[in-house]
Amino acid sequence: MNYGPLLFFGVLATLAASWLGLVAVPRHQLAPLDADLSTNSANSVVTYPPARSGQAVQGHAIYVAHGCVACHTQQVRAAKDGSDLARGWGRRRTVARDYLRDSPAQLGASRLGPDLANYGERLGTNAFNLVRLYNPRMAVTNSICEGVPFLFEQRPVGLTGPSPEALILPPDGGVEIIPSAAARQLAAYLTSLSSGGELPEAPLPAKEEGNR
Amino acid sequence: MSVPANPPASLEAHEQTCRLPVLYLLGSGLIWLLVGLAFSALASLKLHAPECLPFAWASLGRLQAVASNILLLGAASQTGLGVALWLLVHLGKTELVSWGSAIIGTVVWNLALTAGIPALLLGGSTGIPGLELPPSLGVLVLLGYLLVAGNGVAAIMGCRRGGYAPAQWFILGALLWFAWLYTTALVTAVYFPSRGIFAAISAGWFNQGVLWLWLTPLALASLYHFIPELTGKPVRSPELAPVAFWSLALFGGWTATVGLVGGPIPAWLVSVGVVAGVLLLIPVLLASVNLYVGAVGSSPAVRFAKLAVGSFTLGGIVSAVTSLRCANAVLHFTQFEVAVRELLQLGFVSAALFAGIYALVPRLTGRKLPHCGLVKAHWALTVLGLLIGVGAYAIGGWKQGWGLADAKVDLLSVNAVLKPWLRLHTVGLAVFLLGQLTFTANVVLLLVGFALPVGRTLVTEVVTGTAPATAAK
Ligand code: HEC
Repeated sequence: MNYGPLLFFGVLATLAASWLGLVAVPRHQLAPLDADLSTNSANSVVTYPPARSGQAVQGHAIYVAHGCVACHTQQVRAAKDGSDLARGWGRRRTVARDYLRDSPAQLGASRLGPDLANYGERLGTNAFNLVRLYNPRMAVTNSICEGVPFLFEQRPVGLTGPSPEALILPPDGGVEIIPSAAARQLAAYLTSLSSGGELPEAPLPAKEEGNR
Repeated sequence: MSVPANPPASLEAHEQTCRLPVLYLLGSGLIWLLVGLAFSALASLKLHAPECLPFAWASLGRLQAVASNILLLGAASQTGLGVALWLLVHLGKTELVSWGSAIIGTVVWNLALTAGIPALLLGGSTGIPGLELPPSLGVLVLLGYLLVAGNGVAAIMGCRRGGYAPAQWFILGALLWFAWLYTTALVTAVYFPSRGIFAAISAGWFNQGVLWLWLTPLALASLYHFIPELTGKPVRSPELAPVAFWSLALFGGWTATVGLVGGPIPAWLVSVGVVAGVLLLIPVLLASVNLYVGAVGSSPAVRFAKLAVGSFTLGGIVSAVTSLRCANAVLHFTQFEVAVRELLQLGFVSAALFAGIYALVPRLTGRKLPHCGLVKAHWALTVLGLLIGVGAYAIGGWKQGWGLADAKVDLLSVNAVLKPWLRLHTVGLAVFLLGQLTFTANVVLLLVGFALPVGRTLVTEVVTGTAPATAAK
């Protein structure tokens, strides 16, 4: 350990090895990954993952800027790695291709809140309820979810009665809450969250495996 | 390794070149520690009190991003580099080639971090974990770092002592590794992100690398030097030290994906990460054997060194065990993981650097820290804060993990069980922060002492009742 050049060389070589293995090779492996094209029953081409609407793309930026990732993951693990499937957070595990349209992907590392990878699917056909973004405690008592009340405008109800875009809340002394464009974009993004499409590398698990 | 019986009380002549940059790095590192901890405590508070501070700038994610970036890039990195520069100059019997460049580097670095706080609070995060700082500021941090670290590498090349001490190996490794890690992370994750999840993989490589190949070797360097110096006993089984170093070098970089087990990445990447995560036990155990202190010594520096070694052994073992797939399936995504990170970053790295600081401050300033009681308070509050904070997340996170693992327990009940532990964690962090404030108060007293005649400190002045008269001079 007393020979300087050897020390320098060893230090650089060890990191170079992991750089090659965990940065260069994965990049090479993942770069060619592209959306999956398949034909549906009506014989038209379906792209998976589908592109997000412009609104939803802007909503992604708002989600990133407010760091919702602090409590919400967007990844579903296989049954052997956790209870994600059993909780109904997805029909199958998520794979690299599910994230092609996200830059950066919001995988997350904390599950103080539920996984959101398939939140849009949970909503089904119901329109997204903006009240949850204004104040999560109005949607779920005791929720520790963080709202974005600053993306809403509080104003007195006009002479013609409540405006159509106001949140539907218990009447509150002639004040109404109007979502801003940003709040709507965030809602559009949350509605668009879905990673359940069938892919060759991620078949939907058989019923008994996922319990759902 | 020769061990001086009594550590010198002041700098040797050749060390004078590093006095200013080292003091500056340690000082700004301390300020970043306070700032980072304050944001950390605020973020911890918001976890169980989401109604407080309902402003965009106080979003939990933003507070957390500020806290983690400042604690890493400001507090731990600058303090570590300060201790490292002194060690290199001291051990190499050499001078800093250009102390001015080290100061300029630190200034640039500090400006970038200062600008980073409002940038992150206003929503400028890149959204990449661990690399939230806006990229242009990240580049400035890197530039500042390179200016400082360049001096360190030059001091190793100019070493005038036959052979290198363990502290020098670890520091050389750390200096080169961080430059590479951060450059790669900025380029691949931030500047040329490819679509999808690749950024998460390279960010994982950066985050794990920063823990095991930057903070850990810096902290170990401090311990490998100061423990023998302060206790007067050489490290135990010194023949293990090279093995500890090279095994850390080999495995540290391969743990990138331990935070992505079960994630949407190619399966082989996860396997590699798990294997490396377990193999890290080798350097952890070997270095722990080297550094085990036993009952000797109770100076503040030795106490912090003991705390650091204990946290390192415990944190290293727990993180190796939790990288196993079966443990990961339960504890991944819980506060338990945060507990391990805090144990390593605050219990190990920060304490190891404080051991160095306590040993260095008298030499760098020519004075003792004036107030004994504040030293004791610093120690006691640090340990207490860690016990409460890390303990709360370890227990709470454990329960959370088993709750989440059982699909029949709904998430709201999991959180209801967790909530008291979240509160306790905030208390722990606040206590820890208070501890660091007592240390800061001591430093401030020392600085004030410079206005007083040599040999007297503010405390003696106050005690003897002559303070106002002397201070007025
Ligand atoms: C402190 C942690 C925390 C933060 C930060 C947080 N959430 Fe939540 N979130 C939760 C918890 C806990 C729940 C479950 C309780 C509930 O439904 O409110 C939840 C639930 C949700 C749900 C409903 C999920 C479902 O399956 O019904 C949505 C949508 C959501 N959060 C969006 C967001 C958005 C958008 C942000 C960022 C502005 C955010 N959350 C930030 C903790 C958090």
